[in-house]
This record gives sequence, C-alpha cells and structure tokens, in this order.
Amino acid sequence: LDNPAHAQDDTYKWKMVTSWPKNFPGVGQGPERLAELVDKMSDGRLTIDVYGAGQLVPGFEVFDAVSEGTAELGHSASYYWKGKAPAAQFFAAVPFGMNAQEMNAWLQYGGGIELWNELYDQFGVDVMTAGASGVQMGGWFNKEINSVEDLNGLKMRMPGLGGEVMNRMGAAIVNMPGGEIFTSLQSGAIDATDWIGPYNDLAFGLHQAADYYYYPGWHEPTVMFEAIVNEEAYNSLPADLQEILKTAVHDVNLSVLNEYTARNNDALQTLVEEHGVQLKRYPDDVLAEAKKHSQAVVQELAETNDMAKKIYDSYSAFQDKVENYHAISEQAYYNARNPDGDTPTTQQQ
Amino acid sequence: MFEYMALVLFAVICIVLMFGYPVALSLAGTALAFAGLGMGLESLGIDANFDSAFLSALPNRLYGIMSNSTLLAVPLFVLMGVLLEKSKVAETLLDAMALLFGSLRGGLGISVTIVGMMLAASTGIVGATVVTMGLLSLPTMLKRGYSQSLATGTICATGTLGQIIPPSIALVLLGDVLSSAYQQAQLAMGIFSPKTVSVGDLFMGAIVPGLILVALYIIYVAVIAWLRPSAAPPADRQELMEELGHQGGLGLLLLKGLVPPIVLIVAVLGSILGGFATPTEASAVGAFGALILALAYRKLDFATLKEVVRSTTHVTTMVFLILIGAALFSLVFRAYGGEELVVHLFDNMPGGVVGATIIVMLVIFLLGFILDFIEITFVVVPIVGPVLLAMGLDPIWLGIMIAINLQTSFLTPPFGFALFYLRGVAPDTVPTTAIYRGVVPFIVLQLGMLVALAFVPELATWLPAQF
Amino acid sequence: MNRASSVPAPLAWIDVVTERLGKALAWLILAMMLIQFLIVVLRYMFNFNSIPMQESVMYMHALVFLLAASYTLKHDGHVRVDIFYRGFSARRKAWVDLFGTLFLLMPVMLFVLVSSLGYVSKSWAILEGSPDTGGIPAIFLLKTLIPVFAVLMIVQGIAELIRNALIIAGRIAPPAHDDDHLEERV
Ligand code: NA
Ligand code: NA
Repeated sequence: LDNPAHAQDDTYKWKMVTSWPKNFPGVGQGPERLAELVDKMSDGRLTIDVYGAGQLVPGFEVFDAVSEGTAELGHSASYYWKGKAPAAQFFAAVPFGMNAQEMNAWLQYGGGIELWNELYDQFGVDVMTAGASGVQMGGWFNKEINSVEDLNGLKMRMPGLGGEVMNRMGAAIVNMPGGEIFTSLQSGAIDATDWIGPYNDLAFGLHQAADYYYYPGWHEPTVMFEAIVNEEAYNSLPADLQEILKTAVHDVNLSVLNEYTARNNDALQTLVEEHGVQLKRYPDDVLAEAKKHSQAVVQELAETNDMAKKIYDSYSAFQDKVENYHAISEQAYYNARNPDGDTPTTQQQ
Repeated sequence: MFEYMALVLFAVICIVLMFGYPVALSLAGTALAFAGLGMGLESLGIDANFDSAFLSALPNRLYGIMSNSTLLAVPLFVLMGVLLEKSKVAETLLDAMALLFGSLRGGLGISVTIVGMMLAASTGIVGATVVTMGLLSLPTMLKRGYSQSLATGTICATGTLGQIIPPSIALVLLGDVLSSAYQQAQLAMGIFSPKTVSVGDLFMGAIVPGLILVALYIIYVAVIAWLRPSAAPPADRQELMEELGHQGGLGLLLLKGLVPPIVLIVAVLGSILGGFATPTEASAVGAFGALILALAYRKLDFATLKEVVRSTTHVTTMVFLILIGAALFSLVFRAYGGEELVVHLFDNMPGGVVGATIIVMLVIFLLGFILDFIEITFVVVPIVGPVLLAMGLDPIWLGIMIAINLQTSFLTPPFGFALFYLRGVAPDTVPTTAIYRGVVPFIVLQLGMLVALAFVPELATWLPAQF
Repeated sequence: MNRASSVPAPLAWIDVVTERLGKALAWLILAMMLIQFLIVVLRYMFNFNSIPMQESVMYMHALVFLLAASYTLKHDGHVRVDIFYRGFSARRKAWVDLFGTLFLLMPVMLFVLVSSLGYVSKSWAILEGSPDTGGIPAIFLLKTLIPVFAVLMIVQGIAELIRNALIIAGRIAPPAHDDDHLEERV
C-alpha cells in the first residue's frame, strides 16, 4: 500500500486524534492551535486534521492509534495509559507533586522529557509536552467535608492516584462513564466528583448538580497534556518540518496553560457570584491526611518496576530541590502579596 | 470521479440489504468490498480518494464498543423485557391498562406509549428500549387485533423517545459539543466571559418537547382508533377478564395487573431519580425486579430461565453485531472522504439566520438516512454550531431541535436502527414492510414537532429559564 | 436434534461446539445482572464500591456479545431486511445465505481477525492492565476477545456454507425453526 500521508511530493497530510470533544474549551483548543500554526509556518506543506474523541477513534484509544500509525499525532494525557505503563502517571499528575511551572522545568531542563520518551520508546511513539491545566479544583461535593471522618463512605468519582488516596481515606471510589456523571451527582448516586477547573466545570454545568466546590486540587497540582507522534511518521518528515512541529507544540504547551489561567478566574467569579456556588477549602486535617496517603501511593507506584523507580527518583529529586527554591521565591512572594492566606475575595463564608 | 464514492457506497449497501442477508454483515461486508476496491485502485496508482489509514482504526472502534459501560444497559434491559414477557407480567400489565382506559379505543396503544415513555426516561440507549418494548408489547398488541403497522410504528417511535427524554446519552454528547461551540461562538464575538450551556440545561429543555411528543403519539393512536377501529380495536372487558382467568371485580384485576409492574417501573425510574443507581445500573435493578416478579407469579422454572437467558443472548448479540458492522461502515465512509462531503454541504450556507437554520436542519434530517446520531453529532455540530450560535440562536433551542432531528434518524429507513432492532424481535408473521409503513406517520409527527419548536422556541427554552 | 446424524461430521461438530459455547455463555447474562444489582446494593446500603467488581460486568458483557455472536448466527438470530427474502423458496434463501456467508461474512471476519492481531499482540507484549487504579489487570485478555470472536464467526461461517450447499443440493432439508429461537417464542 502506498502511504496516503505522502499525497504529493513534498506535502504531508496528517491526522491528529485527541481525547477531548472537538473544540473543548482549554485543552481542546491546543490541538486546533497546533494545526493552525503548523499549517501557517510550513506554508501548507504539513497540514493536520484534528479529530475529537470518538470521531476517528475513542478518546482512550489515542495512544494505540498513534502507536499503530492509524493517526500520526495524538493529543492526550499520559495517565490514561497507566494500564500500558504505570509510570506514565508521573508525567501527567502526581498528588502533592509538582505544579505546571515546576513540571515544565523538570521536563525541559531536568531530564523529564528524556525519561518520558524512554518510557514510550517501546511503543514507537515520541512525546512532547503540549499544555497544562494548572492547579485544578478539588471537586464538586454534595456533602460538606469538615474532617477526615466525613470522607468515610463518601461515594466519589475520582480516577487515578487521587482516587486511590481518597479510597484509603475511606471514600467509596466509583467508576462511571463521563455521560453519567452529571445525572449521578444530581440524583445522589454519587456524593462527589472531581472534574477540571472553573472554566471547564462551568461549561459542564456541575454547579447545577452540586452545592460545594472544594479547593485545592491536591490530587492534580496540574495535568500535563501530551502531544504524541508516531516515530516512523516523524522520521519521515524533513528536518525543517520536524522543527516546525516541535516549535508549534512548544507554543501550544504555553498557550493552553495561559488560556486556563485567563479563563478560570472569570469562570470562578461567575460560578460564585451568578450561581451561588459555595467555595470551600479542604480542612487542614484532610489535606494532611491526603498528603500522608499520597506519599505512600506514589511510593508504591515507584516500586512497580525499574523504569518507574528511575522516573520517580528523577521526579522526586527535582521536586525536593525546586520546592526548596520555590519556598523562598514563589511561595514567599504569594505570602507577601496576600498575607491573609488563601482566602479569595469571592469566598462566601 | 471518486469524490462521491461515499454516496455510491451508501446506495450499494441499500441494494445489498434488499437480498436479505443479515444487516450487520451486509453493512460491513459491502463497506469492506469498497475498501478493497479503493486500496486496489490506489495500489495501481489511481487516485481513488481513499485513505486506508481509516481502516486500521477498526480494532480501536471495536474495543471502544467493548469498554463502553453505558452499553451494559442493553443486555440488562433486554433481560428485563424477556423476563416480563415470559412471565406474562407484561401482558397482564398492558391488558390491565387497556381495561383502565375502558371503552376508549386505542387504549392498549396508549398504554404502550406510556410504558414506553417511562422506559425511555430510564435509559437513552435506543437499542435497549426498542427491543424491550418490542418484546413487552408487540405480542400483546398483535394478539388484541392491532394492525401490524400501527403496533410496530408505535413501538419504534416510543422506543426512540429515550434519545430525547432525559437522562439521555444523545443529549450528553450534544451538550459536550454544543457547549464548546457556544463558547467558541462567543469568543469569536469578543465575549471573553462566555455564557454557557450545560447538559443540565439541555435535559431541562428536552422535558416539555419530549412530553409533547408523547402526547402527539397518543393523539395519533387515538385518532387512528377512532377512524379505523379495525386497526386498534377496543378491549372487550368480558373477554379480557375471562382470558386473564379472573372472576372478581375489575378493581381487583387492576390491582393484580397494575401494581407489581408499576412498582417495577417506578423502581427503575425511582432508583435513578432517588439516587440509588446510575442510569446504566437501573437496568440491572429493573431486571432483578422482573426476576422477582416472575418468581412471585410462579412463572419461572429452570427450563424457562434457560430460555430467558438464551433469548436475551440472541437479542444482545444481534444488537451488538449491528454496532460492529456500523463501525466498519462509518470508517470506510470516512476513508472515502464522506466527512468532507458533509462539510462541503455547509460551504455555501445562507447568511440569514432563518435560511441557515432550515438548511442545517434539512441536512441533518437527510444525513439521518445514512449516518447514526453519534456520527452526525461529531461531524455536523462542531461545524454548524459556532456559526448558528454566532447568529444569536439560543443554544438550548438549537440543541433540542438537533436532538429531535437526530431522534428521527432512528426511524428513517434504510439505516433506521430502531427498525432493525424491532425487526430482530418481531415475529415472522410481521412483514418488514409493515414496520416501514408503520413509522411513516411518526416521522411526520416528529417533523411537525420541529416546526412547532421553530415557531414557539419557548417550548424548549421556558423550563430551563425557570431555574 | 437428530439433524446431526444426517449431516456430515464437520458440520455436526461445529454446530455442537457453537451450541454448547453459546448456551454456557448465556448464563453470564444472569451473572451480570446479579453482580450489577449487588454493586448498587453494596454502594447504597454499605457505601462500598469495588472497581474490579464493576469491571467484571464489562468483561462478562464483552464475552457474551462477542463470543455468542456465532451462536446467534447458527440460530438465524441476526436481523435481516426480509422484504423479499421472506418470500423466497428455501433453496433461494440458501443461495442468499451461501453467497452472503462467502462474500460478506467471511471477508469481514477475516479482516477483523487480521487487523486486530497487531493490536492484540501489542497488548500481550506488555500484559496490558487496567486503566483504573485497582482494576482487573487483564486488558490483554479482554482485547483478545476480538480475534476470538472473528475466529468463532469464521468457524460457524464454514458450517453455514456446508449447510446451505447441502440444502441447495437437496441433500438436507432446510432447518426448521428451533425452540429457543426468539421468533418462535413470541
Ligand atoms: Na432517556
Ligand atoms: Na436513519
């Protein structure tokens, strides 16, 4: 079979599959922007068709589709591939782990991206970071959480490592398809769910199904998004197009985070002022307990295999150092700027 | 000359279907033959406008069907239907309801519509509702002398109500793409703190139009029963009571016939509304309840149970093989540029909001003949949504218009999946043509509903505005 | 089932295997329902949820609808558009089924088989586990159901080829509707 990707001598028509609905606010804008930038920068020599989740392949089949070459590019988040490589979770979100700024630093200058590529190597897939959500929200609750005891038997939808931590704190972690979250939260079949942050949550309408909106999202201090490329397809590109692709992804990496930062605070205002959402901070003892369990959960993940250990060592070493520095830079500055602590002006308490 | 291969594929499939080989394999086999043709031509250096990469997405699509836990509702609702039918609970329920309507003609048809509405409210999976309604009510309707086309038309149409009556997967998917489109439209207009439209808004907006559709169906059945009594004969109270082996008063029969099944349906719906179960899980609650009822009626021995699980298995595999066949078809349709073909339909959309809306609705209706609702939602709405919403259309209204339009696609032959599903459980004595004839009036009612919504948008927008 | 004695051995064997497998798988429907119901009860009454239990329902579901598809094929349970077919003579029906099996079913199932092998072997190579924390670590087995489904359909397809050829040749009578076929029951 001839490869339709090489339709004409020097032009490339690629497919990009994603794990988000087409044009999804925030993260879904990343792949659209990527396609637009690449098209312009390459003067049409590399064009990318972006497919929303389910349009070409289901959202959770993005990795397989890129690995197999069905699509040349994918936009997703690595924690979806934990069944293939448990250590992939380190590159998406780690409870009480690094935030977007720190993750970007580790990935670009701390050896992170090399480890990430090493992990994906056996799948014939190259990876680049392509966006971040920033610190997420803790989630939507229909019950007030005043102590660790209140988590006991709490029926919550929370995937991933955060879910495991909640599970160890006594919550009953439930799996459900995205389409059932709203109905289940509204009816009381579940008491709580995590989602993303104000911008996406407002669009999803979760404020119509739950009363309390908890912060901070200790379980997802950011989610890093990934652009994955089929290795063979990437190697078939001339060097200039490879560089164009990398540069465009790098732009997307920043734009997605910027979009979230810009839109989230507007959306939070709307949620609180127009919809009367009760904004609440997790109690200190809950956060302390969550941190304790998180360390254990992450430690166990590190022990699943040698590669996980290697990634964990690099990750945690970098986090220790950057935490040290950020204590006297970012954190000290936040404290100086806002001596009243984290009580936002929109809080209704 | 190969730009229109996607349409040729569709035409050829229609012909192949007519030979009568199983639908799922006709769909997939014809599509695969076209794929072979495309790859053959491409390998000869002829540009057949065919991109074979799409074909390699088949395993991903199949695994997507396997891991879609919403679809678990199909076997469980089918099981409930078969159990109720086997144990005669369904028949007793419908007869008792028909008696309740007394001498009102069409009472049984109206009862079926109401039961269908309640079932539709509990799931959004059309395959589950149509098949379950077919199992539950078709034998009884035929036995009571209903015309085959009225019976099958009513069942198909009420079976698709699950799409529009919340909770509904169709509305959730639509809510996803529509809320993105709405934000995009506002950002394009320079509104950076955009208003939103959520799944909850669409659920609210769908309630009134959904209930009006139910009312329209009921009126239609009543009118037919009045004009052509032979098509929907009134229940003969005496005969029914004798047949049900009942001596006592009507009240007792009603109690015996109505209470347990109503308790069951309330259990299904109630388990969702009361927060006991998710919509998918409610199917298991319903099936479990049906099992208990069948046992209580002493209609379930081991031999019957064996038949029940085997019948359920046959119906379930029938439904899923169609989904598998449709997956392959849709990949080949795209590989031949079918999606671009659809996109081009909107290239010259008229500038006026009325003209643009009419064109979009017409195209969605026509696409309903070839594509299923998920494909249409994913392909069409992201294209037309931002454009129409930027023209100032209300997103809830647009969503409900699209949802009802998509619901209709289940009824439109040749790829009206509701028609296939009902055919799959209808007795041999019912010809397929009767089913096709039967749905036509309901398609007209659906279109009437769209027109009504067009002139009175408040039907969709009033309720959500109250919250 | 004394039909078996009058048909060639391979057809009889395939029919028996398909039949036994289908009948066994059918019980999973009941198990699915009971476990799903138990999940609801445990969560509502005891605030308890188990991810492996939830996933087990998905596994059973896939087992049934993939591996019992050939059982339904044997029982002629896959829906047809029978506008013309219903009026055909038994021989003519057999011709349609012969051609359909040969040119529609067989290529499709061979394609499903071939196109899924790479997908499934990649999953085996890493013994792919659950994407959910604490889930059943056997996604590679679940994915394997795809080629197994295709193989079972091909095997039953061979049986249908033999059966329809024999009907056309007048060697056997067309199968009467069997008792557990849905249409008979309704
Ligand atoms: Na519904
Ligand atoms: Na249709």
